Amino acid sequence: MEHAAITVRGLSKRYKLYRSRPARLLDFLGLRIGDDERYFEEFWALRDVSFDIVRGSTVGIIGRNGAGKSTLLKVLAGISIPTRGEVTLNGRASALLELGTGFHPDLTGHENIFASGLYLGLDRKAMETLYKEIVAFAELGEFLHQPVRTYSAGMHMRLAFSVATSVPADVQVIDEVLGVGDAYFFGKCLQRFQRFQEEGRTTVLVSHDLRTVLRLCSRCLWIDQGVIAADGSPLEVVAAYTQSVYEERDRAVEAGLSVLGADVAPAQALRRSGAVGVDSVQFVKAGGEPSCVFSIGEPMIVRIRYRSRVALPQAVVSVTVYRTDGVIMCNAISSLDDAKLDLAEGEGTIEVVFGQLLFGPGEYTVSVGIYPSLDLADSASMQHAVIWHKPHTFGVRRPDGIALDLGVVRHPVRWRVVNPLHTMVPGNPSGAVS
Amino acid sequence: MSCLGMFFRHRRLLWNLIILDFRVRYAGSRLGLVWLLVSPFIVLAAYLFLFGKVLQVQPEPGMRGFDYGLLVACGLLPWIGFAEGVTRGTSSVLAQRNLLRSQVFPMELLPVTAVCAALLGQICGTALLLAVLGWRGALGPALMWLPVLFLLQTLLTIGIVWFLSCVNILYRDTSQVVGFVILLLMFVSPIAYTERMVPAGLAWMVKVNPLFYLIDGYREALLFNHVPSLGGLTFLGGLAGLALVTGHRYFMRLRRVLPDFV
Repeated sequence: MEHAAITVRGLSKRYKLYRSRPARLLDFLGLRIGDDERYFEEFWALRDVSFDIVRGSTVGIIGRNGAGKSTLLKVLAGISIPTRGEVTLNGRASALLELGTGFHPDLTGHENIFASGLYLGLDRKAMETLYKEIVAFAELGEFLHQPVRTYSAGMHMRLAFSVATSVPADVQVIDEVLGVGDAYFFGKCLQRFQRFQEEGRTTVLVSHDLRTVLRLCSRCLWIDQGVIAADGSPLEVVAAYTQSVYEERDRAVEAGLSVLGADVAPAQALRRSGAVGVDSVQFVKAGGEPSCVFSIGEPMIVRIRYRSRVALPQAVVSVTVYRTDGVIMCNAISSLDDAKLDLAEGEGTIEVVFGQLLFGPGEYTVSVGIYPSLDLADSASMQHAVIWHKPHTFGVRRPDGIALDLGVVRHPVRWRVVNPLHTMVPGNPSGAVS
Repeated sequence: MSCLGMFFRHRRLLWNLIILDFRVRYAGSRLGLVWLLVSPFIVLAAYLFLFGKVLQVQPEPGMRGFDYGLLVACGLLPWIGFAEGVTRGTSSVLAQRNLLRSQVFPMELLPVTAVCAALLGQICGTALLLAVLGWRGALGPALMWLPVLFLLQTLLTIGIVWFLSCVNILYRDTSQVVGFVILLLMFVSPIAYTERMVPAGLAWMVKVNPLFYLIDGYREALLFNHVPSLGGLTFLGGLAGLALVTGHRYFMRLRRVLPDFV
């Protein structure tokens, strides 16, 4: 690929789980036990992984614990070597893999900046030119000249992140570290990542916070048991991943119930048999024509086509609207609105009418759930018969002639002016009018 | 020899790493460098008390007091440098395992840094010893052998710790064993005594010990203004070369897989 920053071909990484300590020693000392399986069990952390990453993109890697995400980052950074296959990295890499990489606890933040520079291959002079930027971004204040051991986790992370992203690099790999920072710092990181994208700097990051991936990344890889389970737009991949987590949790709940000797809940039986399904979800204008762009204040109808092999006389339907960066905008639940939905056997259509769209300009997606019955007081139960969760988006247009950020919702408000004479009554500083 | 080229290529980084090593070591301490000067004196005093006063050791007839002190100092200084170097060097890579796990860095420099930084005590002590000897007018042209001995000792130590620092990652017991061996080495090395005082049946124990040639070289060059035994220097040089080449090859081969082991 022409503008590939990273090319990975047939990458596999094997760890040897030795059957005995002497076997480990023999291998370590270089005495040939080679690939003799009598001495170790194989654990393939990555299996025949291939992909390209375009220069300047921000790629998120998601997956369960132990799926191989961190191994992949280590191999990309050149720290761990591939067992098979090859990794080509165009340009200089910088890695932020573990919190506080190489920080000496007894040295001050200031001293550690220069120490980190050494480990990154930058001498004092080179670090001096970066110093201001690093310090300004980390915002450690007085703590800059205190030993690093006195730092909080957040401060530690801010300094490490600041150093790792300030040094010149073409490709940077960042493991699950952003979660430690507060919202303010996260916002700053966001800006920095945007700048990297403009500068053509490539970022690969691992995160368990799917919202981080949705907000930061232009592409997402889902790694499962050492292989790429999905690769594409963050919205699609996150949706597929979330779906699999649901299913996994479902199986765990069922397994738990069968251990307890309890009956599998009716919703689960439905779900397992696939008796209820959602065929499509459409966004429809007031006039009845499908659309994917709406204006603030305009009505929108979510049209859900379902089919069911059983009748669901007391069904509950939910429609959750997400902004594409993962923020839940609203969760409409039919039983909460006292809507009685009697779903007949066979195919049918449910329409949810948003009388007036209150959402601010942006891109949104929905997930739809159908439940045989729903206990609103129990957030943990898995009562849905089906959850439809696909990356299907609609947009809300920015009104013409408005450049200001209108916020997440355009809330209906009323305005009035209260006569200032009444609010300035002497001896009544609270301004209350008696 | 690729390992010597490596020293040259990374000379600035190596220097900076050594400085950093000092900073880290003395970051929390109040007296800092004072310890470097004081600790050899304390060990020396203990030796003189035990061997000079209590056991009344006399390497040469009539040699006692200050002369005996100088003899012990000549033995003690290279031993301190060697012991410190091996001890610190062995744990140097493991101590920086965060770095190993998270950065691409020429890890082979870590043991080298540790060894060089550990030499500072020996350097300070030697400077003091030279000052005393100079004041007594005992120094001669054989002094020029001192840098040679110093270099051979450093290279030998680096070669050894390249190997030991790797093994220490796999078996943490290594540093315990090393500590024990160093202690034994202190007694079998002719620090408070000389080769001539060793019974003939045990002379081989002295002969196979590279530290003997080092200590002997120090004494010949500093105290007696003699050229150190060339046989001893050759043995030392051969051993240092062997340790350096095999240690370096071993480290470089393992370097690529080390991050998977820590």
